[in-house]
Amino acid sequence: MADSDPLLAVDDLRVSFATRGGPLAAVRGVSFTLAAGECLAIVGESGSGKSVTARALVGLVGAGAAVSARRLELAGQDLLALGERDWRRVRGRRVGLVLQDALSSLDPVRTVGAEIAETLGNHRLVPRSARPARAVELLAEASVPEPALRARQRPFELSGGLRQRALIASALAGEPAVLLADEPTTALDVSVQAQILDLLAARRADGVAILLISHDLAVVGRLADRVAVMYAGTIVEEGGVDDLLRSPRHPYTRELLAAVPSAHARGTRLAVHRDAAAAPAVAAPDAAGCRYAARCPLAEDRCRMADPPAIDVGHPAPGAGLSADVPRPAAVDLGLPAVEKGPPAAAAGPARGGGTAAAAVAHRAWCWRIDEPWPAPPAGPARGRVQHADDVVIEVDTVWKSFRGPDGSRRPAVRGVSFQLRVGETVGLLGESGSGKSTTAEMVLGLLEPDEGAVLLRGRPWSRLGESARRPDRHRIQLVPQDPLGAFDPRYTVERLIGEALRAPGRRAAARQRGRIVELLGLVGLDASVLPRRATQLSGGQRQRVAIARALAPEPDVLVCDEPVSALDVSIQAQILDVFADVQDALGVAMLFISHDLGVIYHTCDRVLVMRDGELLEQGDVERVLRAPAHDYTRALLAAVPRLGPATGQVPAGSGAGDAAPADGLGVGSNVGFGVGSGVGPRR
Amino acid sequence: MRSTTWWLARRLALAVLVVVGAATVAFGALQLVPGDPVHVMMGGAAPSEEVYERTRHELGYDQPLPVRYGEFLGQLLRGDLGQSYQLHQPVADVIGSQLWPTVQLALAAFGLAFVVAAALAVTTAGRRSGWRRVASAAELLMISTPGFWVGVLLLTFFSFRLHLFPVAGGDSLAGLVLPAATLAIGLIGVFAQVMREGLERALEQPFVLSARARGTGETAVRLRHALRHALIPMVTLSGWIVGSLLGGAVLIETIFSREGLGRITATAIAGRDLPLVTGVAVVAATIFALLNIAVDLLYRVIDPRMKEVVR
Amino acid sequence: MAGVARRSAGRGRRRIGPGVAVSALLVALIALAALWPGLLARADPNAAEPVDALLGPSGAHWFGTDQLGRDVYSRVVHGARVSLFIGVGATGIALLLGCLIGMLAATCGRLVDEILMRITDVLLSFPGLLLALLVVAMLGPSSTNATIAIGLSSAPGFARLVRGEALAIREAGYVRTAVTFGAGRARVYLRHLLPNALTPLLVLALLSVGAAIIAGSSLSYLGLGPRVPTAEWGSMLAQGKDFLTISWAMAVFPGLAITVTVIAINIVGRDLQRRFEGRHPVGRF
Repeated sequence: MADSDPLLAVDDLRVSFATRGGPLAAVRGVSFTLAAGECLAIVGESGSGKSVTARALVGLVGAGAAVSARRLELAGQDLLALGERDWRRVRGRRVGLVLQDALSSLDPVRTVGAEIAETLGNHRLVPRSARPARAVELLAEASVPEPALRARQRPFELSGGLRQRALIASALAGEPAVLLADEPTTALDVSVQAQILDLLAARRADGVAILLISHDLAVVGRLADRVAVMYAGTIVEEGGVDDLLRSPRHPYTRELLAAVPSAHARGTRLAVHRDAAAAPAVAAPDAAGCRYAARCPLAEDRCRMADPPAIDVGHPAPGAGLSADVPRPAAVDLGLPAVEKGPPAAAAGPARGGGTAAAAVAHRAWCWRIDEPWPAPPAGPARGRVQHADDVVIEVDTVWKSFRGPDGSRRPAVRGVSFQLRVGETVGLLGESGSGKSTTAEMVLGLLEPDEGAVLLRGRPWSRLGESARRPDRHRIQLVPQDPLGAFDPRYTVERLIGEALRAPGRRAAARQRGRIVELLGLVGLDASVLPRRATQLSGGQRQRVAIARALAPEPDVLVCDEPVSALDVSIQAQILDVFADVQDALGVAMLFISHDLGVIYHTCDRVLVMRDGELLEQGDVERVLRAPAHDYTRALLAAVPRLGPATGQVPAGSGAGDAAPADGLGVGSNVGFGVGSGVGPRR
Repeated sequence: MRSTTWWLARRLALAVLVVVGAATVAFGALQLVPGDPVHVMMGGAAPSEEVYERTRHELGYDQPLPVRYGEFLGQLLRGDLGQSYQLHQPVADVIGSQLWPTVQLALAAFGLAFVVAAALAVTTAGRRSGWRRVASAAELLMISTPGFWVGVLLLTFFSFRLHLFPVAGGDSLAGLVLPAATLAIGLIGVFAQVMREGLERALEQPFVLSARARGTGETAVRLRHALRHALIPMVTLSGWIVGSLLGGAVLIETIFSREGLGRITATAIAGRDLPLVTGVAVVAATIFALLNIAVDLLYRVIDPRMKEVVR
Repeated sequence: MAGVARRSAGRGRRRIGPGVAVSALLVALIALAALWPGLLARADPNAAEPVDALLGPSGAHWFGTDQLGRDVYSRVVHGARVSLFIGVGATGIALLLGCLIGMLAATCGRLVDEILMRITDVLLSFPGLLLALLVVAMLGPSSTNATIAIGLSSAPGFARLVRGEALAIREAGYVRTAVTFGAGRARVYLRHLLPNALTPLLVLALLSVGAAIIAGSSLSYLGLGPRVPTAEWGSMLAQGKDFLTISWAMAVFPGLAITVTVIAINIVGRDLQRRFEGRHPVGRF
């Protein structure tokens, strides 16, 4: 494939949807090319138009959408001229599509084999009688162990990782030249995520061109050759993956990278914006000017007047001049040396774009202000690392809990876990789905009784109390949930929601407490304007802020935070993590912080507990555990984390994902997937 | 497999419970019916004291209530539904002879309603067109129109005016058309709406997007993927469907002077024919319970995920 | 996530469409007819004029006359009272009983739940009309008894729904968090469970008024409704059926009255349902 003749050429793609309030532009002039064996990643947050861009390439943006482009070509064929019938010949045969979460992306009532065979049948690739056998072969090619058995099973009977492999197999069954992967690893545990990325890398090495859509910069860094960052329907910056992640120039890219929680950022603020006002400009009218200007700390008048041109950034020498104003150059990873045993990139065989694209990629940003220094994060509390006294608030003493499984057998969820939570400290509870971390949290909250062992609150029994004995102390332990929408009574306004926590449950009683409620909202960066709104009328970030304010209302000693940021975009996540820091600084409340995300844990916590299969594997100071893990599992978990920053060997040599390394390569067990849905990544 | 056997055993036991319960309700209700059943039994004539007492004894009405209930249950378990007061025939025979016309009517109406509704739903789901609006309006009209009125109008128009179909009853196929159509009309609206909603929900699912991205055509997407999901809510309606069919039969059979369980029921209730009413209740409950089990089995076929959920 | 904000735009207050407006007006008119029929129809619904029997529609008798020469229009207007009474009354009974049984089943432990649900199973296993027929046979034909009969026969369905809704809400996040604020059982049930289980049900109840009106007229069609001279749509229809070959008006207008009433109620009910769904995502997912 010569550079002059790319496999896929997109020029000035525009997509708009008809809505009641008039047309809504979702994609406003996106251009890129994709060559065989190359991976281009489009990165952006919810509503940036990245998925719509991908769907436009298979003609599936939906009814009521208008698609236009100066050029939309696949191997020289004009896609814009295709009728529905022609599109069908393209879909699956020349362009494949993989979506997030195979549980809903594969028909739940059909077998996996039938789903794969459907592609074969649609394009008459294999005679009917041979389709089942071919489907099994394809599963085997996607490194699915026992493919013949899996082909007869239905999606819900497979683990998350296997399911995703099956989905990829069905997208690749027609041997398309281009694969569109829309958040292919979101909602998967890190270890499984790594394997899926390896599988995709192997396909790219075979010559498949991959368009990777993701919100996760770390995932992108692991697979892509080039990256395009999208904001509000336009590409704001593009370049080679190393260049772009190492020295981001567009303010939005810089904000995104700065927002990633990590070891570097400990004790600092993550978000540029302190309050909740800065939401992504999704439905902004089709006015001229940079879309990001409204949110940009560097914006000046001309940014709002006219669209900024593409400015060539060139190839800055790493570490030179720029590094001072770029937040954290060189590997925004966890800053953990020497844990990973991956080979250097050079030895990684067919990785990294076959060498064609990587070298010659232009790094461009659509911004006038790329050379401006990034403003220092607003002076924050910087987590003074309060000297916490040795007073123990919560003591968990060898608790056990098991649940009855669907087949009647008892499945242990938590096995002999012990730890302490001291005044003013933040303890992280790290584990993948099904590790028992949420069950542990519920026992701490007194919502579940342990089968054995005990939970003590300030030295007094907390578990095994009658509810009426527990009630007077209920206010001491509060929950910040993962899904605030479900935790809010849909009929209640924000005022009543918080009023309820102030023991003023009625509408009038809540109004009497308005002063206190506004004060609480102020703590989390909201003002009185949200008081009359209901949960559905709030943005995701606002909702989580309200949830925090509500949890603080009864003046608790302990906040139990159950994956409080996992459903949020990274820039919103940054704001919420800052809120937690502010709150702890102001109130000195102790926190039990549950997360599957090492970066979040590292950023937020003083100590960490690592759980797997209901067991506490190790615990200790965050620095100690994540820099020098004692347990193999912790080490494996760290190794599996895709990290920002270049030149981390992402495809283990020789693995090529071809050798049927099953999902339990890390000893996590393929059954890890049974709990997908309980706590990872932004969904929906 | 073992869990399925267990499940079936449990369901059958529950079904027996439901049938006995239904019989009890019918028995209890008719105890409370004002008027003397012996008088009903004897017809209009005023009997002599002696004859009255003898009949009363023969029917067991001189026994206390618990004894009569016990006897009633004993007979029920032996499959003996007693003797109809009005028709002077064994209830089992009466029901046996009247069951088939009603089943015929119900099946015909169900089949008709299902096919028409599925066609309406599949062709109009998710499409914003005038045709869809017309279909929705028609469905609303069908839901809101009393079946007996439609029956009366159809009867007048097609039978009295056009002489296309027989005016009354008959076992012929032609005699089945109008009653079945009348009974179906009330169902079509509900079926079509439930299926369309199910289809539209399914069509928004990611798996439909993946299917389309594989090059699957619109018709195949609707029939192969979405329709099956649209049938799931239909299954939950099964109880309502059976009820509407049997209840509707009471009216339709009366209007069209058709033979059948419905008409027998109406006359039996009006005439306080205790054994016959109880018999009908028991048969209706049995049909209902068995159909429910069948439907739940079907459910597991349509949606294999259900096997995981043991209720 | 790629759904963009396609839906969120325009999620403001819904406009009232012309169909809904007309329906609401009709419902109001029918309610008026039920409360003060004299305002809409001057003629005495029971005044027989045997000379004028079985006339077609005319200026004097808009809907014609029946076999006794009574004014059909006046009888249709006066019939609204019985129909609406049965529809609203029966739904009220069903709702009340259903909520009671459903909430008891959902909150009083497994044993109570199991017993109550078996009983509803038994009641549900009767075709609704058969149950109503039984009840009317038991109590004797009258409009009050028809109301009770229909109410009793639709109560089990409501009980099922309330129970399901309440069980789902009991697992919802907001009920669990209410506990962490130290809320007692009673407060959780009263403040969260009951109102949230009830809100979607109230709309459903409105829709079931239509069904109850049809059921009521079915009963009177079978001769189990109000006693004879009372004007009632179902029994008027039944009488009209016998004279259909002579005068179509007698059977058509009462039927039309039922259909128009039920359609109007259904359109209003559905509009309300859509409005509620918009801001009422029951925490089930």
